[in-house]
Amino acid sequence: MTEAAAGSAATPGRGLARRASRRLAEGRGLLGAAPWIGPSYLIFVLIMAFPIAWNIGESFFATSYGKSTFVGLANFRQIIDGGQFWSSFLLTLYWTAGVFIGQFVLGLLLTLYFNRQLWISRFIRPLMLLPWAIPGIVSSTAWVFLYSQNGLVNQLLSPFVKAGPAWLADPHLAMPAVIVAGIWKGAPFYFLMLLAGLQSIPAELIEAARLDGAGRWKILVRVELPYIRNILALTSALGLIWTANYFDGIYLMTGGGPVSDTTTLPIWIYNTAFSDFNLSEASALSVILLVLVLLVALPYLFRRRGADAA
Amino acid sequence: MPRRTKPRRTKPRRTKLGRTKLGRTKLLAWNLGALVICFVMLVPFLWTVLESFHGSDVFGSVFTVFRPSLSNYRFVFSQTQLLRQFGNSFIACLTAMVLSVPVTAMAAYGYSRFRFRGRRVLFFGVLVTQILPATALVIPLYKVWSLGHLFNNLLALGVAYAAFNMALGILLVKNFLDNLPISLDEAALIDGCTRWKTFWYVLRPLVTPAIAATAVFVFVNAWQDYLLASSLITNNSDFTVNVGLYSFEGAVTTNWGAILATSVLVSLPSVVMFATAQRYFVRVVTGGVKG
Amino acid sequence: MKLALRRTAAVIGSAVLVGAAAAGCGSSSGNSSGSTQLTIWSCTGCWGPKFPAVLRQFQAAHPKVKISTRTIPFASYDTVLSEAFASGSGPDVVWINTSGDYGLFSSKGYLKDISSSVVGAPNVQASDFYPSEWQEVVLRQGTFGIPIDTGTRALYWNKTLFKKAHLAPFGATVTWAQVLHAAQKINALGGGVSGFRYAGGEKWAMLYNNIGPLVFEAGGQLINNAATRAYATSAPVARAVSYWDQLIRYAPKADITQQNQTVAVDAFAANKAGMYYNGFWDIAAMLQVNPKLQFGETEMKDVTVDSNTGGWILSVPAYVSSQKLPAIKQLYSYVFAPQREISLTGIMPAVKASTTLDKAIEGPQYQLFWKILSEHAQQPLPLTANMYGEAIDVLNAVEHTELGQSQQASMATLQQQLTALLSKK
Repeated sequence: MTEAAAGSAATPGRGLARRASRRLAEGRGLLGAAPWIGPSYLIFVLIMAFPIAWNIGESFFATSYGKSTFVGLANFRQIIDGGQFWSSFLLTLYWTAGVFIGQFVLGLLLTLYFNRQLWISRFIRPLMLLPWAIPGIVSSTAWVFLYSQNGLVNQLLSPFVKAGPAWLADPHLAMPAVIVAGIWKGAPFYFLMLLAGLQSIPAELIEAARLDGAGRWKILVRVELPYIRNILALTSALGLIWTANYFDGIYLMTGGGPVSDTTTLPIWIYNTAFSDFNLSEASALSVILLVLVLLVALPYLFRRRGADAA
Repeated sequence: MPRRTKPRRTKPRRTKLGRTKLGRTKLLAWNLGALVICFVMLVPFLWTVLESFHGSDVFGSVFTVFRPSLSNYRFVFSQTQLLRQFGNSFIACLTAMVLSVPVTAMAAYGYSRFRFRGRRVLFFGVLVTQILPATALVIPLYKVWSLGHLFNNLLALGVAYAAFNMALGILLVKNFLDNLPISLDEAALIDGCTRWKTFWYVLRPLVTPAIAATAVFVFVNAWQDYLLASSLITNNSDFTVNVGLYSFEGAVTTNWGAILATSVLVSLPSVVMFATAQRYFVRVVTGGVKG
Repeated sequence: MKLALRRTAAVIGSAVLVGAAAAGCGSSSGNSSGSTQLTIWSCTGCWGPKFPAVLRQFQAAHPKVKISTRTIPFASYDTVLSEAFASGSGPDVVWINTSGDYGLFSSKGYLKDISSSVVGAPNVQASDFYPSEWQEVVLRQGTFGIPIDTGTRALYWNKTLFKKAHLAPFGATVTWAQVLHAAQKINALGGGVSGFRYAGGEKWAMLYNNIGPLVFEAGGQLINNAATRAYATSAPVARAVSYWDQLIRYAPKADITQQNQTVAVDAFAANKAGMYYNGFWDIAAMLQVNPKLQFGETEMKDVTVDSNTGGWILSVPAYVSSQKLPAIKQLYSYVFAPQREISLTGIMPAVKASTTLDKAIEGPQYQLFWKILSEHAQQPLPLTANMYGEAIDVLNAVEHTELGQSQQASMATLQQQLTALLSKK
């Protein structure tokens, strides 16, 4: 992109021709783009259009003994007025922030360590991806065991704490415990993206910064991270969405408990749909979750607009 | 041809990993440190592996008494449908992968090279597909499946997997394409190539790493799925590995040994996928990095 | 040119896919030339080893009925069932997992009222079943299933650990104080051994296995039989909850969030738990884990006797067409004949046994359960359509107490919630 700009600035006489060929390359019109984005949208529509529409529609109804009645916003009012909503909402925020930041920081730390020439990396890197690659039940079973009264975590703490707590059964410790497990599971994704990003930065840039007298930290913050900000934005946006939605790990470890101390919105949706079998309320909850996450994702949309300006 | 004022650079120069040469001992220390870090990170998984080779029936005792035995694996290979389920999983996940590769690449090209009304909305729509959790969508999806008589259709399941997992790929490849100068397109188009030819011959080879990364992501995510597979596959003989894994957890008894052994086996394909494709990952972001 | 071709191909392709998806819009037909196709669902391993054989015999005796079955992993059974019910396509006959789900599914209109179509057939009448079992399925709004087996529970105690802790073995009945004392002494043994364990798992199961029977034994109820009043703040409930509070101190805290019932069973079989409270089905499981296990069973007896809760129920989903009902009626009659299904599935039947020949499970370990069933079988928690919701509320209240809130406060909240639930109906 910068090259094109440089070209036209250097040879003004050809500006018109350049713009013309540019327009040739840059298609215009939905019809032109349709065959390209069509197949992906076809698949999306086939699989997801009806479910999403159904969900939104269902949230305005209530079902009892097989009869569905239109209730307008009653489901939403009931949810928001109920005591559970605030706690689930806050827990979702707590979870999302904790896990996202934790995964990012852990991924970054690992990246900083591995961003050097180590022959062992070739073997280690695929293994480091294991937490992300294994199915939810595998990691949950392992973590439940680690957190059990006589599990590894308490054993490691035994020199400092006489009797370790029952992590997943303690109303204050359950959420942090689950967050740690969540961080463990997802950090490899950030490790992957950040490492690849940092390793692609030209050495000269780093050298130049160092010659200017910048310290290690300054180089990281002012040179390296900005260089990969597009990928950073992408992984952050998707990562936030995925984290907010995450269901498997928490449910398999605590079922949302003790009581409802780890019941984030996705867990609540699942319990409402598949334990209470209250589909209308579950749909209303899904819509609320959709709106909340959309609000978070919108900034990504506007940022992209800025990045596409070139 | 008018001369350009700046020398042209087609690709950023490959960087040398590491900026300072480390001394021999320091290097060894760093490598050992890496090993330790890997070990620590993998403790939960290591526990699973160790426990799967443990002969005792009592769950969780591997740190006190360890009696290595293959009984769990023997059971899993002889008494269960594991191999068949692996096959089913492969069919579904490979379908997802093979389907999403061209579809994603094409969609990314469309978003990257075209300007049209509603482009931003449609692109945002791709992101929206990731927002609703699968638990919310599975009941109406079940309805769709029952209307289309698609139960036990592993290919249809693969299409569903693709739908749920294509978003990352589209974003990634689009990002990558955005950073390939449009003059490449121009040059090809001026030479008389159609758009399709441009895409196929000029851009695709440069984008292959991103596409490979997409393929792996889709496969790994699809491989992990349980909710869709358990709802949309009704015949025992068509179950995927995750469903088989969960079926060891019964109402009355839970066969922990089988769960553990199967867990280890189920984790392998993803690792193998990553290991073979890892060199692509480095190049994924290389091209897509210029801010 | 190529572009246009590709565009056309895309359009045709999408039309084909949409068409294929919409193609199956017809009703799932079950009848062809007089024969009926029935699909039966249950969860994996839930119907015992011999039920399929019973089904085959049925088909042999009734060639006009074809039966296909499907078993779903237990972990996702409720999920898949609710999907099938909500979307109107699925099994024709289904095993419903006890009163909790039964109440819920029927309140959503997912189950068919068979009080006039299946009830009344040979072997499917009230007089054929234990009264408490029959009461379990008869709701105000109709009868939506037939009870297959019981959920009779008793207290298991570990003989090895009792010996270790120098405790006198339990007799046929024990008092609450005895249980508490034993739990305390066994817990003191240390080494990862707990005096007591919840056989937990899903939340409603916690209720059945743990607090429910205690409430009943204390002479109380949580909700009256007419489902119009709640008694969460009554004296018997307070007594049960405070006892419960003391007892679970001798169980691992982690049981609160345990998602799997079998963990407690495994621990007991491994001689790591002194006592737990659960059903007859655990005996086979325990002996499988540890064939040398030494255990005893007893009834907790204080104010009144032990109780029985629900087991599996055989139901018909609401969407099933009435064309299939005659065949279904035949199936029920066949399956519920005492000499046949009940004696082969290895479960404790809801059907009254008149001779020892009809007893499905024999052996001294099952005697106590038979005794409870025939003499003292009652429902500790009256069945309402909100059973599951009530169970969750009760359980939350109990857990709140456990986690430090004052018992009075928890029970007061529970009373409020139950009253609100009941007043909705």
